[in-house]
Formats: sequence, structure tokens, C-alpha cells
Amino acid sequence: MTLCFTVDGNDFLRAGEASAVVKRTLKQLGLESSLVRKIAIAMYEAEMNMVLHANGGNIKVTLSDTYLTIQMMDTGPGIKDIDLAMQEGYSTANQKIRELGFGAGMGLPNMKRYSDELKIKTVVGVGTEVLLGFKL
Amino acid sequence: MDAHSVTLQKSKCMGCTDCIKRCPTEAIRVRSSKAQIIEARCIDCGNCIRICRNGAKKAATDQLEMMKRYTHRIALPAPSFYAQFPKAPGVEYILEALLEMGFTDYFEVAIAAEVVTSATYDYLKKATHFPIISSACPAIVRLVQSRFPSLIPHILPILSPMELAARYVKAQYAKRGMDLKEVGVFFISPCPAKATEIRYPKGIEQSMVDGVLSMQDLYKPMRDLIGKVTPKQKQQSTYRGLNWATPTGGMDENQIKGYMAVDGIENVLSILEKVEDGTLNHMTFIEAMACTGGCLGGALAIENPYISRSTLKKWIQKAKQSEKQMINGEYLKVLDAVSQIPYFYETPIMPSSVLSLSPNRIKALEMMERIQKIYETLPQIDCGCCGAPTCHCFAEDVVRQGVNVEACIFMLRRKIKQLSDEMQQLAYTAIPTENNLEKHKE
Repeated sequence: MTLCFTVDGNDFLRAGEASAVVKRTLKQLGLESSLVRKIAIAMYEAEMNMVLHANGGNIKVTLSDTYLTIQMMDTGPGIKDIDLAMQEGYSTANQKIRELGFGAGMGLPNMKRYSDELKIKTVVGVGTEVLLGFKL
Repeated sequence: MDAHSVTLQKSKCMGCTDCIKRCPTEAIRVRSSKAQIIEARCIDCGNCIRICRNGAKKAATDQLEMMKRYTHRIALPAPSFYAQFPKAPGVEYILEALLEMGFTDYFEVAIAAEVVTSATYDYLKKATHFPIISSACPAIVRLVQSRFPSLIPHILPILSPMELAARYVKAQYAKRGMDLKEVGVFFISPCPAKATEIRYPKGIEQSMVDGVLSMQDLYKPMRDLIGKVTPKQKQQSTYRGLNWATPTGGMDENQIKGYMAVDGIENVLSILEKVEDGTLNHMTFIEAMACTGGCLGGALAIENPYISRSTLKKWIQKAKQSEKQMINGEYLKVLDAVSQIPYFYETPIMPSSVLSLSPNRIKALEMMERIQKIYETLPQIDCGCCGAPTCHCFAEDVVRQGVNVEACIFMLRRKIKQLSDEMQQLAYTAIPTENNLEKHKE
């Protein structure tokens, strides 16, 4: 089964909606609740990244009985140094955003921690493609 | 008895769509012009009771006559009950009126609430799954069980003040050598969820509460009595216990770093989604209450919750002023005795995964695909005429329960058009014995 979403980078109110739909779908599939939560956390992080950093993008979710793939494509600024971005606590967010509770530098590390597969293709100035994979 | 405390009076239901649209767990459908509650999905929040314009939804609380079964009849009044009587000269008048009503004794739930508060502070120091979600509101626990099973480890594993109060009362009467069969403990409830709670308790094997009486049933006789009685005893509960009925709950937010109080089931749903997404990991404690305004906004409460809030404030102020006189030796003795009663959950909270389409994952996936396909053909305006709250829900019903897709009036109209087109075509069917060319010329 395939689900497609367009994430609006300017609409903070609707940020996280794609994750919510996927979460509901996974619950309907009868997955174990702790697994649903892992996927929810990783996908929510990724979706918020698209809104916060890349002005939105597209998400394609492919679901089989054994594997879940979440493909997220944006045309944002790209990630300059992936190794640095993967480090816990590293963030490009400024003080103001951090005061709002964002920018803890846990986005990518959490996505890696909770997924079984994480692939990132990024070109500075062109965009980023993130692929999250989960064994079900 | 039903598994639920919200029931339908069929004769009063006119089959409108008010309740199906407002049920937070999509637990109601209209079938043959009558609302039907899907038992497994209902969390007893009472929203439908509040919304129904015909009063067709009723809370299945116990009848007052049930008191007659017991020699000792103990009332458990909660602070939310005190808030229903703005004209009472003081809480002690309300308590005295309970004795006039036919109860032989009472125990203030607010006292047990104080114990639950301090037990919660202690638990937060050693808890592992943050944020901890309060468990005093039974509708919230049910919501977590059915919609957010991954958050079950976050539920505060401590009895509700009602249950702790009942345990204390039973222990006291047992100590005095009374036959517990003769002792009836009655909670005076602002909501139907509490009635379900004693029949199907969570975290314990059996509730010590024998009956749940609706505030609505007691209100009128109590109102008349309050003006006539002369109190013989003072109120024992302090402002800390009374605070429990406010929308921020009984916890002192200054004492907990990362404290949040959320009331109203829709708000709770969105906060629990966030907890599930891991964005509220920095919070310590979430006081979640299904009703807007907390217990004061319960579906069985009489007063408007904003009026009762100001009444409760009055009682809280009064209790604060006489705090010094109230905290005496006897009060501390009671508080100590209540805190000796075991207050932790004794049985695990189990998930009730009502969302799962099928235990077989391949089958579930196949059903999901069918649901999606059907959903795409629906108007997606969530009109409710089909009896389901949303088009998506309807698509689920078609696949799960085999509901006819033409129960959707838009689909029905499409089908009628398709059939009439076919009929029109049939009208032009060539018949060998007829000269069609000639006929069309006419």
C-alpha cells in the first residue's frame, strides 16, 4: 500500500499531519504499540525537519506486511555536513528556536536510533532525500 | 449489566447525527434511524449525553433505592459535589444533608485525594516513563488503553481518590468488626465513567465501591435539605484536597517541574498524540481530564462548570482561612490512616486495540487497501448521512462490517444515474421484429 503526502512548509498548524495518518494506519495494521511509537517518533522528527528547515516537500510511504519505507523529498537548502548533523546535540537552530523547545540537535540521531534503515541523499542548495526503513 | 455506563433510550433517539459527530472515539453509528454505541470503542466520556438534544443518552448509574440493601450506608462525596451548591452556608451543611438523605456516614474523597497527591509526588521521583499521565479520570485511562497503548507505561499506577477512600472506609468498618456485607459505600459521581470504573476497575481486581450514584439524582433532595439542617460535624478536607476538582487538578504546579494540566477530551487527544510522537519527553506530569473544566464539567454535574468553579473557589478560600484549625490531631490521624492503605495498582493495565483491522497482518493490509480505494470514491465531506461520523469511518465500516456502500447518498445517487443511463440505453435496444431505423426517424 502506498500513501502520499504533500507537506506545506508554511503551515505550522498542519505540521505533523502526515505522521498522524501513518500512525493511525499502523495501529489499524495491528502492529505492536512500541513499534508504532518508534516509527511515529522517527517520522514526526523527519516531517518537522521538512517544515522547519526545507519549506516543506513530499512524503511517500510504502507499506508491505514486513517492511515500511518512508521516503521524504524536499528542495530545501540541503545538509552541509551530514556527519556533524548526525551527532547528538548538534543543531543549526538559533537561540530563539531553542528557547521554543526545538533545535535540541536530536532530529537525525533520533531518526537513526528508531529506524532500521536511514539513507540520506543531500545536495547543498538543491535538496534532501531522506529514506527511513522499518522492519515490521 | 452492560460493559458501559452510557446507554441509549431508543424511543427518544430520532436518528440525528449530533452524537456520532461529537464522539471522540468514533464509537457511535446511526443504524435504522437509531444511534448505536460500539461497546469496544466507547470510553464513557459522556460527551454524547451532553450533546443529545432529546436526552436519549443516559448514564447507567445506580438507583438511590440500592442504599436500602445495606445497614451501613457510607457516602463518598467528592469536591465536585460540594461545588453544585453555591447557596449552601458551608461544606458541613452539604455533609450533614447527606446524613439526612439516609446515609449513615460519609467520608470526604478530598482527604483521600490529599494522600494520592503526596503518593504521586513520591512516585514521580522514581518513575521511568516520562511524562507520567494521571489516572484519576477513568475515561482517560480507557482512551490510552484503546488509542494509545504504547503510553500504558506512562499511566500513574495509583488508585483514584474515590477507590482509595472506599478502601479506607471498608478497612475502618472491618476493624470495628462489622460484617462488610452490611456496609455499602456509594460514590456520588459527576460522570458515567466512574460507574463503569467500579464494575470494570483498572489496576485492581475488585472495586470497594458498591454503588455509583448520579449527582443529578441527589441534587434536588439535597438542595432542599441543605437549608434545613444544622451541622454537627466540621468539614475535614483541606483546600489541598478540594483543589482536585479544579481543571488543574490536585497537584501543585510549583512543586513539579514540567507540569501540564489538560482538560477536554479533544485537547487530551492532541496532547497524547504529541506524547506518542516523543515531543513532550521533557514533561514530568500530565494531568489529563476528559471533561472541559475537569470533574466540574462532568456530564452528570448540575451546575454550569464555570459557576461551579467559582463556588468551589469559595470553599477553597474558606478552607484556606481555617487551615490552622483544620490541621489538628484528629485530621492528621485520619490522613495517616488513609496513607497506610495500599494505593498502588495491583494488576497491569492491558491494551484494548480496537483500531486493529485483523489479527492477520496480511489480511489487515488488504483490508486497508480496500478502505483506501473506497475512501477515494467517497465525497469526503463527512456529512454523516450514512450514519458514520466521517467518510473514512464509513469506508472502514464498508470493509469491516460489510455495510452497503450505497448507504452513502452520494454513492446512491451515482448508482441511480448509472442505472438510469443503462435503462436509457436499453430503451434503444434493437429488436429484430421492429424497424429501428424507421422508429428513430419518428
